Amino acid sequence: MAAPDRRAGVDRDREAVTADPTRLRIDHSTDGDVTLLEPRGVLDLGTYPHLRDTLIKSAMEQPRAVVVDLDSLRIPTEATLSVFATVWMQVSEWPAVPIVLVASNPDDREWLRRQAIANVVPVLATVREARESLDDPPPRRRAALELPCSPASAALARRFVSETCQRWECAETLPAATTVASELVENAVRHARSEPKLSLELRSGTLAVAVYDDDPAPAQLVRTGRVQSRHLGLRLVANLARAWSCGPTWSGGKVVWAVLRIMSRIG
Amino acid sequence: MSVPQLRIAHEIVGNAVVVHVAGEIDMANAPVIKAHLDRACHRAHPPQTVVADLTEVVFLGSAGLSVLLEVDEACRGRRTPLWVVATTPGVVRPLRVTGMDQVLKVADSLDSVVQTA
Repeated sequence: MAAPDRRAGVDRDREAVTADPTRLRIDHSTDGDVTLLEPRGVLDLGTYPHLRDTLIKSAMEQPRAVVVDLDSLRIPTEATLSVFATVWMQVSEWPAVPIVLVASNPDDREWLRRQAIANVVPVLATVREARESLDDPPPRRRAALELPCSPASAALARRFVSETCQRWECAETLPAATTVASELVENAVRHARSEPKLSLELRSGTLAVAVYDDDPAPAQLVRTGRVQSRHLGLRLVANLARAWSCGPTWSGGKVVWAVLRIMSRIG
Repeated sequence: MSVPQLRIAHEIVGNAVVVHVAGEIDMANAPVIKAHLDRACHRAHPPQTVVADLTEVVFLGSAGLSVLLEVDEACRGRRTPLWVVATTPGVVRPLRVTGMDQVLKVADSLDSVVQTA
């Protein structure tokens, strides 16, 4: 890794504009229940999206943690480090997979720890240290349902949410969870023209509703002053959920998820 | 089970053309509801009103909300205002959460609307 003070003589703005995304290769491996990413090349505005999407896709697989080895990554400007904060913000509510940075050089670690991202993403010396720093994963229950690309899937999704929430004894969240699941499944059928996969995940205090589809185009909520007949589905989701977002998946599609607050406890 | 169960009935009560709906409204059957409400809208003549009686609807998704907005606009154009009767949480909540209760004429009982009409 090379921090900015060890780099000279480059027109950074020009580089950002002409940056070639192929200049960042990200090696991807698993170490037990942890995903290890090794970005090789340069992190700049051109390669930022590639690293961001790879981090999100990796987190969506729900490993115990995503560990990023920065030893082969050049970081010409500290501004691009915000990629780690951006991803952390997007995945912290769900799937809440920790992201840990590893830098073997003590100077690099010191430099990283002085940056704002160190508040949310720990910086450690080795992958082993990173692994040892992890807390035990929180207790959770999961259930998933694969649905056809059909308007009838929304009703199937609502039945599934209803049965699952009753089994999990979190029936108080049923009205919101049913609506959120129904709307996300309808969007996957109507806009993404996909066979949606609905996933529910119960943790202490939250129920996450996630719907996977085959379309990488992100779900977007257009905020307008007046009520319009378009976008009502996501407006419902946004107003019922504590948080919602979407991200790319390794299969080339996306997952849209919403996290609901519940009273029930598990574990 | 495929499309959610739905029952629809038309009735003229006083000065109102009423469409009673019972069941769940989502993208699978929203076009059916729209067709029935459009029919009621065309049957009504000023000063009659059109009433979507959703007293027995237990789920109202965004597809159903969109239908209500579209029918409301059509009814305004014909000067036969649309009233929505909402009593169940499955209908009241989505209307409130989306702010549509501020846009549509929403009543909490059929009687009050028919008297208003």
